[in-house]
Amino acid sequence: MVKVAIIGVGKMGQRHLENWLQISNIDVVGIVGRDLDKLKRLAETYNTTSYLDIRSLLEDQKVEIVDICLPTFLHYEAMKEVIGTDEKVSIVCEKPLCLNEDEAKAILQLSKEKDIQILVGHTLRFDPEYAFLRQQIKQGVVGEVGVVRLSRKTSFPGRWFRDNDKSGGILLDLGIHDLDWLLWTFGDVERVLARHIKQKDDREFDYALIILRMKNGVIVHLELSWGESSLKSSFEIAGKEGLLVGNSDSKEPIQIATKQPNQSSDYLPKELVTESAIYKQLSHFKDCIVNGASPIISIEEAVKAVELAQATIFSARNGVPVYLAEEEVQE
Amino acid sequence: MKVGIISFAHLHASAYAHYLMEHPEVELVAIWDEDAKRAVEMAEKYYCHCYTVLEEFLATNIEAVVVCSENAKHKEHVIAAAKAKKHILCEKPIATDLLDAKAMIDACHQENVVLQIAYPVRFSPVMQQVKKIIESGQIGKIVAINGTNHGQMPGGWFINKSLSGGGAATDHIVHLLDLTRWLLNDEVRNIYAELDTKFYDIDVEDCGMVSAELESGIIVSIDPSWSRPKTFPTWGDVTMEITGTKGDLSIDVFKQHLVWYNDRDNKVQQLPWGRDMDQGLIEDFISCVKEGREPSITGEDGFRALEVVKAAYQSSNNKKLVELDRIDL
Repeated sequence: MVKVAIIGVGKMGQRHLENWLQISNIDVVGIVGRDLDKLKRLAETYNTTSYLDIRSLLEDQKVEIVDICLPTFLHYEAMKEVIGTDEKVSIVCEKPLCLNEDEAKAILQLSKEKDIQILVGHTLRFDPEYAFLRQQIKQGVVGEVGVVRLSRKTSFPGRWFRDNDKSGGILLDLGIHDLDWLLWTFGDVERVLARHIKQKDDREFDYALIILRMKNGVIVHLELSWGESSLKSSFEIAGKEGLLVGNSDSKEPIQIATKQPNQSSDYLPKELVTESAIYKQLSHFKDCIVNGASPIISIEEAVKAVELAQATIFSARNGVPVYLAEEEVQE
Repeated sequence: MKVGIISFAHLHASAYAHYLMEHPEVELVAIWDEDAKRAVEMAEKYYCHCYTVLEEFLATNIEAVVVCSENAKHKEHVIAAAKAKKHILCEKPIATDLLDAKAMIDACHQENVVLQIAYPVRFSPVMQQVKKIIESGQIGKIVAINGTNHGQMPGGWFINKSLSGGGAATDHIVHLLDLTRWLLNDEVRNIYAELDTKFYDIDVEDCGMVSAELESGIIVSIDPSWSRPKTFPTWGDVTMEITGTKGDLSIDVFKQHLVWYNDRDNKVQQLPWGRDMDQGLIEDFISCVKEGREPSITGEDGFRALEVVKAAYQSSNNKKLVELDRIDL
């Protein structure tokens, strides 16, 4: 049995916990959190041990994988602590890898020095629709790609997400999904221009419109919103020989209608008739760590995604296009 | 009211001719076209006189003309018509050059004739309703617009820069830009564009992405790409996602259509059934001439849109954000 511990028991931590328990040959030996009542309740429900910090977990048990599901601004310190222990512990980390490029690069460096595997949960790589879309593009079904339109909208996440110093805001936290998918599918970005609206009056939401030029010439438009009632995503890939389109509004094979309107504002995708992307992601990470499978996402790619997100943040803040190649901003 | 049409180079001329014929107070009496064959053909189709000499056409007793020549020829035709004291509805874009556009506006002003620019989407019942919703304050203050005006590659003179002035950016930025200016009563402060030729082996750009900030701080994206493939079920689209402080509007101007699975021609097609916006445009132009009022879409509206298009080219060429330096009219 491979021993896994989960750091952070918020919405995402609990989701990961439930998915780890479904994966064969995995023993969730501990959970780390701050909320004593919640910890106690979860430890009882899932028959595991609770800890108030990472150190007491690692002092108490020999863990093979820690899964970091903390708010983004805590990723760096948590990973540093895990990498710094005497034992070699593999790390699974919720996206984004870190809050900024400097932290991300420092973690990359530390992980190399100690030869630690870090696997970052860029969920779109495990999303059946987006993974299939990439595969079709790579197979050339629309020929050479010219213009790409992507849109991702969810409800306002509130809590620590509303603080840019904790979450990186919409451009990092939500944008990184599509930015990573773009890097994965089309390669590096040449330059980016982003515009960002942060609204507090009437209703609180964030909204961003981003134009990217990939190094291979593809022109991309990305729309991001933290102002929808539920997750909505869409894409359009226009190539020399055709057009691929998809929209989350029209992909549910089963629609449930009940007398009571569903009032919940769930910001995570519902997964009907398909395996959860998180289950696939965590199973894959286990396979990488336990069986030495080669990861679908490398830590270098996770660093690059953070760099790109940070470039969009810089662009939006300063109203200038940002060139990725030189790492310097050009007026 | 007697009306004539200058050139059928632009496809919209046929729709305008149709609605001029349908209008109870209008007589479509004359057509001028430098293509003599087309002039005869169209004159037969619309039961009117055909001319190949512009002076003869303008010497008739028509009160108003619709100019549908190639973009680069708008200047010559509009100024000639103005000097002959004809009121003018001019196809968009107003011209291919800002100085040309200014000369056209000045000529019409001097001759005291109406110059209306054809932005028919304003007259779509969908957009009329959108304007009411925005003005009602239902979705609060507008903060962002994400728009598309996609099309199939039109070919013909549209891809000949000396006649069209440019490709997809010239053809398609202006519609959404005009809608934005009209809906929000705002102007562009700065613009950024990535334009390119990615789909066809042609001399003008066939796609791109435009990002603008308005004077009020509203952010706007416009996708003017000729990125609809040949198999697309219709010519293109006009869509807008409008974000307001109290709510959002999601607009698909041509959503009212039937889907036709057409075995006869082996294709899937959209058949629009909503009210044709071109009819609204023609009716508005005619009533504006009749009542002698200011046109609802002025030469300045055409000029401001062209100004932004030119700035978009500048931005794309220099890969920089361009601050708009609006010329006084």
